[in-house]
Amino acid sequence: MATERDWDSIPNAQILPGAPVQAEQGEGRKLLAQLNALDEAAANRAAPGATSQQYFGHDHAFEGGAPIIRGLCWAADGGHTAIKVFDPIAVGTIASGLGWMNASPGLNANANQSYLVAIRYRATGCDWHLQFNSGPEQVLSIMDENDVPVWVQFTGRIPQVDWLGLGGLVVEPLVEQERVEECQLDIFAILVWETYQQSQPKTGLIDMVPQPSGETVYRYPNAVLDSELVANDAPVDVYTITSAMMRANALYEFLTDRAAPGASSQRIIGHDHYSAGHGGRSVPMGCVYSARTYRTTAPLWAVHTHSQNVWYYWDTDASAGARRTTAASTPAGTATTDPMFLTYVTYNFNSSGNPPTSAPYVVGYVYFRHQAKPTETIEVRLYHINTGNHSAVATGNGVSDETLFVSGIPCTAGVINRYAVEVRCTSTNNVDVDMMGLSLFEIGESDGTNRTYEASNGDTPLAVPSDLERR
Amino acid sequence: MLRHANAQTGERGRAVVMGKIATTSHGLHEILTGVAAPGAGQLVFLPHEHCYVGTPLARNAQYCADHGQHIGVGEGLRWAFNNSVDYWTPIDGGQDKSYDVGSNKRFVDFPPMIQAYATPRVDSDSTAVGAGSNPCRFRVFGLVTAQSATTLRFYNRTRNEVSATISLPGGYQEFDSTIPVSGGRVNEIDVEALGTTGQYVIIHQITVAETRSLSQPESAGTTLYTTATRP
Repeated sequence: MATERDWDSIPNAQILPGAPVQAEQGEGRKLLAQLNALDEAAANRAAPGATSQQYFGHDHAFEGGAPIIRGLCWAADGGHTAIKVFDPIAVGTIASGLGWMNASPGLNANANQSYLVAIRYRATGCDWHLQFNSGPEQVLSIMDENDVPVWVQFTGRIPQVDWLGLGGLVVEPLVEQERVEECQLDIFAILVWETYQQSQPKTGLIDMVPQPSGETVYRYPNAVLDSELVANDAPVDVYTITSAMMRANALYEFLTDRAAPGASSQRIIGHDHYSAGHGGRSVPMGCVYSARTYRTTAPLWAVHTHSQNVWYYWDTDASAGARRTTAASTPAGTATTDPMFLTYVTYNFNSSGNPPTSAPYVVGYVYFRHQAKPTETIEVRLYHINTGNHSAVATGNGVSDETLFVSGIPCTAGVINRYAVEVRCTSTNNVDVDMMGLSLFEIGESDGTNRTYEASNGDTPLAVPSDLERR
Repeated sequence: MLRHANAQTGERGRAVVMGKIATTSHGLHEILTGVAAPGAGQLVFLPHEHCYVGTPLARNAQYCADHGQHIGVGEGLRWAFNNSVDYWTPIDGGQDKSYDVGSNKRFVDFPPMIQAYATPRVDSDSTAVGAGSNPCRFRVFGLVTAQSATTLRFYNRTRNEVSATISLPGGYQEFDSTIPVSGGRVNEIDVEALGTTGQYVIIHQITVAETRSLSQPESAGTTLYTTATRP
């Protein structure tokens, strides 16, 4: 079944003087069902005149629409300090993986999807090979040891959807064995983004360009399509057909944020997925904070848990100037007034509850070590200074070099969010715990386990063609 | 299914109008869902993705760095002022200066401190995002300690534009500023400080984010599509 390929403008003249249209096979009713469904899917609300929403609001991930790139997925930058040093002996893979990141749902289904990776480095003694996630090898050219670090950019593949372990950074010195001890690779920063051009090609389909026309276009936003008007296959009268045109044009502008075909100006505000008043299901934007080091002698934060079952701010043991939280004393039950770090979250990403138990909220991965007492049980939570609320508690498994998933992290939209990280040991006292990495994300998984946002109101995906005949 | 051909079978009136509305409905369905319209055998129209069509969506982070508890000399995001107060000093890589205030000359023969990818159309020059007085921006915020009174600013060398200056009275505090951004590419950004010779400033944490409040004030339309009743 071929579909009309041209985008038709709908000017006044074509429906005046308004002779009726015969609807012999229920076309009028189907038309109303389609337009109502489109309205619900685009705006994530009941259609005008309807009492309830039947179709999912589209969110570009699971209920329709092209995937939305999330920009920054993961980041670590030590500034003046290398976050990882590859010496001649320890050369090879970052064994435990770079960390965890969130890949936008749907991007991996595209053959051309990829990440953009940027690395700041200093290579001395020889050239180095670097490979990320089995992508093409990059040659890092030899530099003088006094040179400042430089950036290199390349792309890598997205091997799977959702949470992605970044384990594939491999380096190798390009030098004969007898000279290998002269070589060193310092990595100061690693940044990973989802990017647009690589992930969403747009060939082979028709772009939406409004048809040029000087004619007036109907574009009233409030046209209700009443099914009674076309019930029983009665002729579709001019009022109904006019309302349908209004609705179609309004949907075009609402969906594309462009003037309707043939219109000289745009009357309807385009939907933007922020739910800040202009419709569409909210879109979580991925990474909101990320920090990591691979140098075990220089963790991000270090704490000594003096007492069992007592929470401590993770920077409690940091010296003046480095300690950021300002509670007068430990344990961490004494509220801090200054944050360990700041984040910014998407509009209307406001959590509720202490800890939040229902979406929306932020989630995170924290990577830590407690080598001296590796079998003890460590727990981690985040403190949200803006609200005074805590995240859910993430409980370790009695091993060192562990990554824990922290759920239910409170957040407030529209302002800078201020956090501190708390840690405790529930099995003994006097444990030294080093934080090596922490990344926070807004996410929107569909499997229920990591979902951080509200389900759409409808119960039927618009993408199922047969459903359009339900009403 | 509502098909163009079906509508044209109408015996009376202006069936072609019905067909055009059907076409519009099909197209909107494909644009919205990214799958072929009901009854259609293949996808004809491009799905909207907010990078080409629709209101652009800003990302809330495009760069983030935090050095944790390491602020000693040569550690983390700490750099000393080695030159006179006549230079904006780049906070990176041991370089001495980035901008000579006296000669109004910038030195950019060093790698940028920050690389931050920006979403297509989230562009300070884009009239589609927010023209004129409220263009889109990168928001740059974080935590900083200045040993003494210092002025901080951010330079986007991709656009050769700087942020407004931030006056730090000395001590530990949060900072929050904005810089122009070029969408669809990596922006190269430097942090610059103007302070007292021999003093230091520490960037504890810094995040570069695209923000809606600054970058996307309103869509182009004027009337929100609501659930109002029959006109």
